[in-house]
Amino acid sequence: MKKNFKLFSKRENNMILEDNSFNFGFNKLIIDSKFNDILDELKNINISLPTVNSNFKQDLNDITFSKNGKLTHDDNGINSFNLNPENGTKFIEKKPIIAYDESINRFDSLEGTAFFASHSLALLSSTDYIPANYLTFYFYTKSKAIVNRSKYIKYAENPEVQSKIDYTKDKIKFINNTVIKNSILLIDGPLIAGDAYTYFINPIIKMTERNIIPVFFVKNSLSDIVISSIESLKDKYNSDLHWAFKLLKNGQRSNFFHYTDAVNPKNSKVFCYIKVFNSSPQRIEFHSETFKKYNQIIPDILDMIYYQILVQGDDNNPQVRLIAIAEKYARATLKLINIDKILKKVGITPTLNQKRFGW
Amino acid sequence: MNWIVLGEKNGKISLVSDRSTNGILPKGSFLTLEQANAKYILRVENSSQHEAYSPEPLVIDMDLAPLEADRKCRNIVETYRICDFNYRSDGLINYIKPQSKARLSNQEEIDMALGNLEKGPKVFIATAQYNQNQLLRDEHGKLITANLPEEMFYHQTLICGKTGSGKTVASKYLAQYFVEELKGAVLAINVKDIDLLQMDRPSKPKTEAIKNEWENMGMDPHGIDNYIIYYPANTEISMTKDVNEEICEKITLDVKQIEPESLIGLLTNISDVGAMNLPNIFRKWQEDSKEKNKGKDFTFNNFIKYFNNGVNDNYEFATLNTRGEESNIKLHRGTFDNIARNFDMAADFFDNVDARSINEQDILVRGKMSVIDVAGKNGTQFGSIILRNLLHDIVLAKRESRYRIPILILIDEVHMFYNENASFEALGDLDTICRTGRSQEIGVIFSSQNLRDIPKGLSSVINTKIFFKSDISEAKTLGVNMSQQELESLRSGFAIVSIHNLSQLKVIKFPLALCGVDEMERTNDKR
Repeated sequence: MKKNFKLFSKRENNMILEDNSFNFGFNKLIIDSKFNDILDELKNINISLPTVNSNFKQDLNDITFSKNGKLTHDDNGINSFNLNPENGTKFIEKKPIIAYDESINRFDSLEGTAFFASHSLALLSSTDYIPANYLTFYFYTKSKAIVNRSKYIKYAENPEVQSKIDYTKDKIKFINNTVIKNSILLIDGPLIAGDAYTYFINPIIKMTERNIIPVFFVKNSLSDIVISSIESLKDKYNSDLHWAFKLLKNGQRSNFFHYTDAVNPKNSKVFCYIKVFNSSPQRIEFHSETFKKYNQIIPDILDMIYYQILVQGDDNNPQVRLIAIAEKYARATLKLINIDKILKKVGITPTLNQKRFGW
Repeated sequence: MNWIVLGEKNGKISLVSDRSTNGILPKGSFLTLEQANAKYILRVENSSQHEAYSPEPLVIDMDLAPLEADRKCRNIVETYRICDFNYRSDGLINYIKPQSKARLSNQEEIDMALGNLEKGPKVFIATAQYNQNQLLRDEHGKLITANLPEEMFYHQTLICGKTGSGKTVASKYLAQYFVEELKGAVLAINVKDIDLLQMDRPSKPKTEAIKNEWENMGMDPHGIDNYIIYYPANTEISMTKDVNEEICEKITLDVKQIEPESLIGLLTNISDVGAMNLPNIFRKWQEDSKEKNKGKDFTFNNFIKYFNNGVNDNYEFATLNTRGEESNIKLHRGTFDNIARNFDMAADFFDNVDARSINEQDILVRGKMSVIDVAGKNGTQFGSIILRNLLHDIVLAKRESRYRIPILILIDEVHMFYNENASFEALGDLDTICRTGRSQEIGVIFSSQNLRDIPKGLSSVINTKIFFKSDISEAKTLGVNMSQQELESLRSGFAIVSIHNLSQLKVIKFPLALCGVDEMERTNDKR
């Protein structure tokens, strides 16, 4: 019998833990309990075929608005507002602020596809940035023969879709078990995107009930709901971001737009555009329930976001500093587990082609 | 406080401080890293602060208050692994794995890394970073010390530093150790002021910190018991400077006993070849005088007359070399004039009736420190001759195994006695001593403000180098990555070192010498 491969076998302070108790929290790196098991199975199945070079690419930013959606804006019409970074720094002291980002590595082989994901949260404390990370590992295959011989390798008609669903569930589990009440949660990516978001909407609404304010950030979107919904903007711009870039000066945000899905009213959100540097603006999204409950402090939150993007700098890639830090931790923890070495140990490194991507 | 291993680059292990570390670990510090059954000691070579979240200049322009989290700094250190304690038998060396955790080393670990020396002059291990020098402490704040190996004395030592940097105090400290712990003899040349003339009495420190340092090392200030100051009979030691008259003795040079080679010490600005003629001329005269005069008119003044008379013989002199071969030599007019001029200055040092001449019997006494004060008028010439003469006697005595007492020779400002470009011949017995010190138990400490003052012929045989505050770029060759600024800002007593058989040690602080340093008086003098 082959000796089982054990990657993480002991607790070492707060750095690496086996996820037996699902004891999430900050200053910890949690390894999913199935991590070792999947590796064992891969080794036992002895996958050793040449790789298929998969050019997987998906930009979810373009499908964040349904064709059945309806867009409205404030009674005051299309406007721009100056942001106040000083107010933003003061607001930081009022509520705990946490950011989420992730890093994912995908490996394709002839037998299936492996996904390593690092979910990352960063908490801005009074003196430091404190991380929490959660590592997961999935292997998907269409081969029922392989699935029948294993407990943890998953059958999937479409590994991309299934991986996204699993990833979203893990993300929700991680956030729900880690993010503290009465905090602001900054999440890189759109509120509504693709099919997997349906798993996310209800938890987001529940977060609002726990006094957590989730805020979503969208960059590089080609959406055109604003310019196609407002008569005066039609045919003048390539995208909403193009329009926002022309409308806004540095250090300004647009008015709020209210979007509601006619089919599923839960899929509603409020968003505005923010321009910090003389480069592409970003879209800031709130769920409608969140916006309704916290509309009094939303301007303060936007000031805080403005400050966080300012302090991070980098006008080529404007980013909230806290999210940038969460992203760094996500990448670092993926690097930490040295996937190449792990796969080599289980005997599949030469057969896999690695590709990093993000949702 | 912990530092986490990042990895190795160019032979150095990089580490970054963890959250519990709130400061920069200075260069010269030691870290201990434990990994499985192995333990490693690392020495910090470079240390710097790293700002993970430095602010965008725009934020500064907007005069916005900083977030404390954005001001967080980490300390990144580059270290050498100086000692591995592992038990591999396969001929390989262990990896130091990334993310291994290191902590400050304690005394026991540093002792192990430094070879567990139980004996030797004790010094504090120190650190130097930016313009700050600190004594190294363990995690509990206790000062860390090290023993310098005793055998370093016999592999020759160089002490360099600016005035007031601590080189004389360090020399005194080492000399006292040699006398008291090694039960050896010390011969020192005092070239200025009263630098080495008060070692019969305990030091008087100015600050409590010095007393604490002594206490930490279990030391008490005290003078050297068997201590004597010799000075040329034609000069005076200024007793107003509080030098104990009772331990001072006048000495003279005896033309009958003087080793001819010693006269080279008189000559300056002439070539080695030219200078080498004088001993043979003198030897011939000396031997002839012994036979002919039988003591009558056997004086240095007579030799001067004999020499000056050479002008009538067309500068031609009879010679006798060390092998007993007689010959004749014709001096160049310039060489003749130079020698004649120097004789005028030196005549006063010879044949003084109220003084005696000393030899190796006076020096090679167990537990005795002998200081020859040449700080007076024309003292350099006197020092040059007597130093050569005594070195010759000592080498001979040691070679013939007449004495087994270890001896340490302290030569301050060596360039005053030996030309920096002196050949092996001109260095004479000093070169012999330096090369045979280990077998004969003879050590030399050269002290100088400038490394370039050391005769080039000797630099290759000096195995221990101690640099106090200095602007000498050569100090960098000791293997310590110090900026010029850091070298120049070393505090008194702190030194960058390369110690024989103790290459792991780089920054140290000498304790204040237990004798002969009156800091209170120095302060008053300055006022």
